[in-house]
Amino acid sequence: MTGTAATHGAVRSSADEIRDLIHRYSWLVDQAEFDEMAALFEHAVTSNGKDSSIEMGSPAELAAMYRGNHRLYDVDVGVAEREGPARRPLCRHLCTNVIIDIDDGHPSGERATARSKYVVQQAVAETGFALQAIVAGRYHDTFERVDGRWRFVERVFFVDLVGDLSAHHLSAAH
Amino acid sequence: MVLESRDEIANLIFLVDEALDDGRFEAVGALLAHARCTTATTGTVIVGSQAVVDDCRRSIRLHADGLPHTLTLSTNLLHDIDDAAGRARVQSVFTVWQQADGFALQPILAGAQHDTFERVDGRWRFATREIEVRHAGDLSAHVLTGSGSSGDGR
Repeated sequence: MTGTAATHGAVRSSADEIRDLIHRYSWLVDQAEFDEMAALFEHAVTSNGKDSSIEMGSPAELAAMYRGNHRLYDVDVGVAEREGPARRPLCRHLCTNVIIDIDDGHPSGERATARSKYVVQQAVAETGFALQAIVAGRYHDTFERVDGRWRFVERVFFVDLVGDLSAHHLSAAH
Repeated sequence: MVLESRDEIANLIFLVDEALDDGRFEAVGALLAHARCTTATTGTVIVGSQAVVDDCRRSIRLHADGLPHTLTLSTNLLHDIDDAAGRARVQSVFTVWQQADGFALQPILAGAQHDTFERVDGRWRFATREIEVRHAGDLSAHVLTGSGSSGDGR
């Protein structure tokens, strides 16, 4: 289908940009691009919802944590050549229900919050781990707009529903 | 205006899902206070915030910690918005996931929602909600027995 400039060339809204940031996180984790994932949080505080006083650390620490606790598998050579990383978690995050609230009158500049939900699905053919949901929960995010671009300033991870993580985690620690 | 109508309306749909998962049934009732809620399959009609709250209490099982242990997702939103008239129609697909002690993570209910919205005093609100349950899984950890679920006590 062809689109007109009016519909396809329009400036993206703040809500669109914020949803993209949330979805980029999901994509990068599933691609095992942990450094790029952690870079999203360069200006952010990340924490676990169970105990928000425990910060998950700098981008380097966050990337190292993900690298340390994600079990990676070889992907098909053709896929790796087309799309990058040859070893991946073989999972996909579905992320939805993004509730966005934008505060353009915030004293420290433009701010926004977003609450969203995720379901992580995984399948590992080589081990016979059938396609299934392995974990689900929520993200509570805060964003700021700097030089016209939105970026994360806070993310709180909530793990709500837990399935079989045996093919996902290298250790029990999350 | 900071949010476009489609985002404001999507927020309303997701706020209902969030309140259901949190077991905050009064909030569900408040969001649907002006809505006529029907269940397509049973023909049940619920009107008014207290009726919605009662329906949730009657039909949704709360576990020992007071939570339903669900994650209710709404996706595939199709918007038909008449901004000038302040009327909107949105259809979407819902999936309820659940996990509890002794109950493995799984989808337990899926279907469609047909919602209409009206803008009153500059704010969008639900005008009608029709729930169409298409696939029911193992509801043993979710539904209170004897419930004729309806309005939004899916």
